[in-house]
Amino acid sequence: MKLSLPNRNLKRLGIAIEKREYDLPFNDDRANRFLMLLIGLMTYLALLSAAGGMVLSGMANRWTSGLADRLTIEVPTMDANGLKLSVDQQQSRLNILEGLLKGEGEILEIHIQHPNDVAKLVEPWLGNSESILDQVPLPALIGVTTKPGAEATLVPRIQQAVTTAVPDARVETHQSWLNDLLRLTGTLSFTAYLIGFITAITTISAVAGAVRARMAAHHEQLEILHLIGAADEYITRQFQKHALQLSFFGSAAGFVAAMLTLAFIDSLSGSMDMTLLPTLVLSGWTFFFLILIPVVGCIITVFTTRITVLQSLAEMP
Amino acid sequence: MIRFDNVGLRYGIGPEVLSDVTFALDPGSFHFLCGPSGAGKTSLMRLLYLGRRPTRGLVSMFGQDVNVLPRTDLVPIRQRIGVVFQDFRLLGHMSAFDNVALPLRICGRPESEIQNNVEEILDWIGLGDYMHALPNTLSGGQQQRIAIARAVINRPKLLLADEPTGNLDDEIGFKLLNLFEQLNRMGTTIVIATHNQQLIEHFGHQRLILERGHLKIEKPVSKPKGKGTTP
Repeated sequence: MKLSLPNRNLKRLGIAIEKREYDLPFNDDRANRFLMLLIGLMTYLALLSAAGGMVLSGMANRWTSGLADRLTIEVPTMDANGLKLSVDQQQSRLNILEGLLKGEGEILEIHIQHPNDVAKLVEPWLGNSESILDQVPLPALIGVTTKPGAEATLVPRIQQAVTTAVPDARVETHQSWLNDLLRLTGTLSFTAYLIGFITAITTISAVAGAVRARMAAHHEQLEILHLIGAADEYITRQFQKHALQLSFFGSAAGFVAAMLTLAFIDSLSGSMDMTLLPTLVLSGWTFFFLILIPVVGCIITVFTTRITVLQSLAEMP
Repeated sequence: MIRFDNVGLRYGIGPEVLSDVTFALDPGSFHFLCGPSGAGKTSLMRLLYLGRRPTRGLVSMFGQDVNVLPRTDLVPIRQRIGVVFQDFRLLGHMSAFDNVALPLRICGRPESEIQNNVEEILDWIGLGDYMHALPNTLSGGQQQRIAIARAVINRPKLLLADEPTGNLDDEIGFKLLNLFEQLNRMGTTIVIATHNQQLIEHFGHQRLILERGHLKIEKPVSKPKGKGTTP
């Protein structure tokens, strides 16, 4: 007759649990929780750093693609002596430049923004647009979209033509500040990936240490298996299977926690209305890449376990 | 089947615990390994069950020179050897059934075969009702029988037992030796390390006597069984 008691009670009664999973007492091991927690935390950190890296890379790409093949011509509303030009004078300068730009075959689109339009754009920061115009000499802006790849030859030509026509107008290709921003995001994104790499190295070291500690703790049982005729592969498979089980649950927990954290961060950044900062949108590929991280974590854990166990067993006669 | 030629063993940089040990065990023979404490019995048993390699000399088992074999090639040799350790060395987290089944599982036998064979042997040693018991709930004698069942379940060619009667009273000790004789009649070579002079004299098999690491072979004194050794 079979007793239908929980495993813990069966063990108290001196009756073995019916299903034997391993030849080594892995399931009684308190170190399991430590290893699972460690893998969970490492997965969590790796996911956050990878997500950070991807967001920063995405942001850099967005800036680059958003400003590629575009330039802005800044037309001051004051003359060289600092006197404000009349509306007609301003309009005449804009007309000259518009005509000049329209004559260029490699320009796809021209968009003129008068000082009034610029004032409206900066209204959230500088206040009422009408009073701004009285206090701040806002320039007119001409947004230019060029044919893809035409920038290299076109920009110097336009620069020369524009400054000849309106000497104090300035052609802005955005490169100088964009380069600085790209350098900054590049460094941050490299740091994020570096953290991910360090996390992987830490996981390998910690798993190897935990496996060695476990082998030392079960040395007597290992020796019995070895002397009975268990091949290294037989013993290693048991360690691998157990490591896979722990890493699966650990990384699954880490993944869920990381996704919740990312969702929380995203909801926070969304509520702050930070237009310059990136939004955390997980596209199909991004999500696929993030799912790969716990999978790679499991593979790293199993592979590290295998190498460590085989190395330790090689020390046996 | 087993041959030792001028075998020496030392641990680390210590003195030799076995010196110039030379003997051969024929298939189906029965031997007692005796000698005072510290004479090197356990060390010799270790060499026999491939728990260590000798420091010098030649050890040949089942026709293979184990000194030069790579580790992986020792596995099939170990699978042909059954060992009963003095302290049983049962796996405490496993049931009696799983302890006995271990050598078969290691060899990759199918579960149906394991089930039948293990149940049969547990019945044979009188522990059929203790299949699911954990070792620490069994008496010393019962644990001893489980250890023996584990050692013989895979029908080893060589059975080694280190002080198998050390924890048992005389009556059970004699029963145990009778069990070993049955196995011996089925063709298993048996080496029993023991201090028990009464048993040695009663069964009268050939004696391998170790003294300060040197081996001396004595011919059977009575009831000779098996083919004996070749010095």
